Amino acid sequence: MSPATIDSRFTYRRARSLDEAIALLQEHEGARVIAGGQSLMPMVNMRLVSPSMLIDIGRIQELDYVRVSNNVLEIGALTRHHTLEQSPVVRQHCPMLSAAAGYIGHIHIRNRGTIGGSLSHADPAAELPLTALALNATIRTRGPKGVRDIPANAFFLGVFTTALQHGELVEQVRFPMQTPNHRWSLLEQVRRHGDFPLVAVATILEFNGAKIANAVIGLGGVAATAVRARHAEASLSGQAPTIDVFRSAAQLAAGEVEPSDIIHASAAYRRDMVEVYTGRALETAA
Amino acid sequence: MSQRIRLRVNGVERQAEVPDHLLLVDFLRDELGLTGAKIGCGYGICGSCTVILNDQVIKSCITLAAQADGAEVRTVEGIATPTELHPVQAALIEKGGYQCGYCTPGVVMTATALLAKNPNPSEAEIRAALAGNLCRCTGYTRIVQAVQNAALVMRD
Repeated sequence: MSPATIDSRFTYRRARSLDEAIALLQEHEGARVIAGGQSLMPMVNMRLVSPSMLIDIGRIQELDYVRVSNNVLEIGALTRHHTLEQSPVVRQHCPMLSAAAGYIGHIHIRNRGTIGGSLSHADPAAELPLTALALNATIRTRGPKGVRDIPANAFFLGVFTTALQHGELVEQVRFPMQTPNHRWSLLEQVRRHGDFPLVAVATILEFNGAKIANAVIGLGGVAATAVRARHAEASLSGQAPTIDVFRSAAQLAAGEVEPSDIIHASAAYRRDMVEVYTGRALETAA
Repeated sequence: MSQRIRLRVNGVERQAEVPDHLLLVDFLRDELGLTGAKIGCGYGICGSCTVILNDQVIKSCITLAAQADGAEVRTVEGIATPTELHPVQAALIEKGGYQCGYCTPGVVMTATALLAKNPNPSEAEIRAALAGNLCRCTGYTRIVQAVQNAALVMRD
């Protein structure tokens, strides 16, 4: 028997609807929601969390969809990473999201893990929160007080911490569609295939003729949440996409984060890698 | 608390009353005696516990038995016949794609699932599929060669 099984005691309940899950969440202090469970179960096994109850929403089929409505890509919370990676609709309208899903873990994890789960879990280095931030996604939540639409930049509050309130769940994630005018890239530095990145950089460059009109630079893994490098973004507006312009933007981006020393890398190294990967990401996008 | 679950494991209908917190890997090993799936890391990294659930590879150490209710599960015990190994198993032996063997059942399941979906994978595709199965003995080269060989045999 695995060591995890010996002392993790929780009640398992399978919710048949989102409303039932919300009611269970409200009733039971210490309850956690499980969908794919690809972040939660490792944490349970490592005893980092000890839920009193796991509410399984994994069978609520109506939360598993990808569709386009009024120029918004609507994605049900239960959509698996593998679906995001493979779906022709996602690939066409939100290619960065598809690419982001492909970076997650390995196929075993992508078969089970869900977008709602990843966003709710809010790992600072995870690809989907970074992508949601870079693409200005809106997270639609449902709870005892009804539905809320929370922009990604107000959803992620800290390490494993979101704006979700007691009894609330992610119901849908809404992505504005990317257009061919958006050049983009998503790069990350990993020590091994499938690891969480030491740094991940998402860039979008919107052009007006030969000049950059708007730039987005999202950084993952180097702060408590994914963050935008606003000064670096601003420095690109109105500029031609040259190596020098990108290099100075990358330098600015590195100055906008305060990574700490971690077991895998020093703070100075991580800051250097922000510069290197931002530069590369901008060149790749252009 | 316990859950009543019904699932098919290697084609056999199974019913059981399992504790709420029981992991699928523990159910397979301790309740059904299917000890092919191994517990390595216990948090979904090493891949020794890989099984196929509804035609998709998963890690059974981070899946609850209750979550597999109603599912079709395949383990390494269910892919060969008593007289003939699965081509992936035969190729691993022929190529020497294992040493201690601890990761092998997981590797077999991942490779089997890959070849079912993609009969002619490139080396890069094989390596990407197997990225979730750690092997500390072989250095992977012979495992990759074995999967390539198995693909050839299975296409014939």
